[in-house]
Amino acid sequence: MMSFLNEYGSDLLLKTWEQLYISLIALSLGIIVAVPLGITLNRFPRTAKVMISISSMLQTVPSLALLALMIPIFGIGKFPAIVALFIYSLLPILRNTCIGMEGVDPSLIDSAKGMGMTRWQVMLQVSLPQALPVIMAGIRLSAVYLIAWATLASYIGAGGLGDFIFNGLNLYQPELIIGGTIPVSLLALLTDFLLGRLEQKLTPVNLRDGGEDE
Amino acid sequence: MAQAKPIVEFDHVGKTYPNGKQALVDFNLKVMPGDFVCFIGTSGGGKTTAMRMINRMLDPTSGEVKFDGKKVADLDPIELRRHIGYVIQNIGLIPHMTLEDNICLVPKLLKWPKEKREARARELIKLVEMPEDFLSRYPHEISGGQQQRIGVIRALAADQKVMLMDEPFGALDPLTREKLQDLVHYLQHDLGKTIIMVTHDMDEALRLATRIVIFDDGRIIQSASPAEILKHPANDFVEELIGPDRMNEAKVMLATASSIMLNNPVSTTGDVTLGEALVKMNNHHIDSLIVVDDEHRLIGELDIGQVMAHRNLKLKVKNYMLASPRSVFEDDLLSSIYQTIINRHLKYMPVVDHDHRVVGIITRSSLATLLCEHVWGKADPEDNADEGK
Repeated sequence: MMSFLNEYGSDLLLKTWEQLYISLIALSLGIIVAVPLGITLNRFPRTAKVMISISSMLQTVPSLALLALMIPIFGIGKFPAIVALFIYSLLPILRNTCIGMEGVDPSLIDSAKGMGMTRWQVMLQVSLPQALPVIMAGIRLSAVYLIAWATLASYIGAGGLGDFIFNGLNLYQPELIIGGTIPVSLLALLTDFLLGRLEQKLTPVNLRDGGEDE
Repeated sequence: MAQAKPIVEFDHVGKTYPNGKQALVDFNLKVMPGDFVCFIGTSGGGKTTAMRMINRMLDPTSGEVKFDGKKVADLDPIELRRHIGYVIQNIGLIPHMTLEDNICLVPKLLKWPKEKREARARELIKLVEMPEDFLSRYPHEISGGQQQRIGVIRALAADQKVMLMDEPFGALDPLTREKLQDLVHYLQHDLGKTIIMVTHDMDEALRLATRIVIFDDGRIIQSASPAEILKHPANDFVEELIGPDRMNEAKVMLATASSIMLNNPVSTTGDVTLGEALVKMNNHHIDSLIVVDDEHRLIGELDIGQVMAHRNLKLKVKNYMLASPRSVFEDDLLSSIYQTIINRHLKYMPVVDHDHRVVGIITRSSLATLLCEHVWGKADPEDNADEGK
């Protein structure tokens, strides 16, 4: 253990950082696209169904295949990896945003509108805060998946902890495989925990407390 | 009142949905400032549709809705809604905002300064008799009745003249509902708000409304004051809506003086002597007389006590009678008459027509007769009905 850390310590930190930032950039892009899209789609329920089906379909493409498909389009390196992971992040966030917005009590929206709030005001001040816990759950789910899947990104030259694992596989060195896997798991757990805390902060007071979080 | 302009006006308003369903057909109504109008009827009868057209939550497919003389179709819906209070059954308080933020929602939209908003919130929460420190609470921390009270005051926070209420108290228990009804009655009766309320509760409508509009299948069946509706229901549907119990009750409360008075009371003119009057009393076994002039107009009454006080039986009645006595008109409501008779310990009350001609008399025993009829029914009471209960 100590010798492993002595030998690979600095490399491990670097790769962990790579793993994290590939995932987080993809996740941020996913949030930036999927949340507004989900909110907009709330007004067009039929289109929403179509869009969710499309992103479900994308989700079924095996992750390794999707990464490989990026090569002819974007070449190799971090960029195609981020694009692929971004595509994966869409579905959970989009679906949860749609569900969250749908779940807002219609009478709440009716009364807000009836009092003279504009569409934007209703959305930002009423619907979004109420839908936020569900949206956040989607983001958390995405984040955990992305961190795990970013491991495969090493396959197309994006770096990250996947480098350790693939090296370990190729050279048959179990300690490298384990040394790569444990940080991935820790990273995923830590992210989930931090986002969970954030989710609780963002949950509106009326939906708070009572049992464990979602 | 007649010279005031209607604050809300429906002019041949119709609403047909794309699927051909007619939600509202040729609806006409004028709501005067200070009115309390209740829309009542079957669900899907068009009452909510009509109400939601006032603040443009729905637009009519034909006709015009006017607010304060202006066509609402020409007004910015957002601006319009900020000047009309809106209360719905599910309360609609925003759960993640404190009561203060909820109350001050519209003032904030109208960009009132912070101090003015805070003062308004304190003033309003006092109006509904809740402690000031509730302002920092959240809706889920207070009871349903308290929430709806906040819902009501929120609708007038920006001093809206008109309030729309869509079955606001339907989900509350009877006791809480009654308290809230008192509150909205106060708002209309004492603060002069115009209230338009959709309800399915006839008791509520009869209790609060100055005008009841009865809807069925998109059409107005009847639009009249509660008393008028109870007295002359337009058709069987209205009667059914009112219910037999209330109809029966209404017969008592809305009966007029002429319906229970005794006709041809014993009267005398003022020119006879006290002695002659005494003889007349004796003949009829009564202790007082109604004094009328030549055209049978009420001018006074003579009590046996007054005769006895002036032993000289040669005096004229008109000089010793009790002049300008209390009387009621033949179309006065019994509900107001009986109060006077009981409270003032009157033995009887002359009934006059609008030319002050005496047409009858109501005695305490006529009230007793009426009461008995109400409690036990007329000569052939439906005993079975009572046993069933």
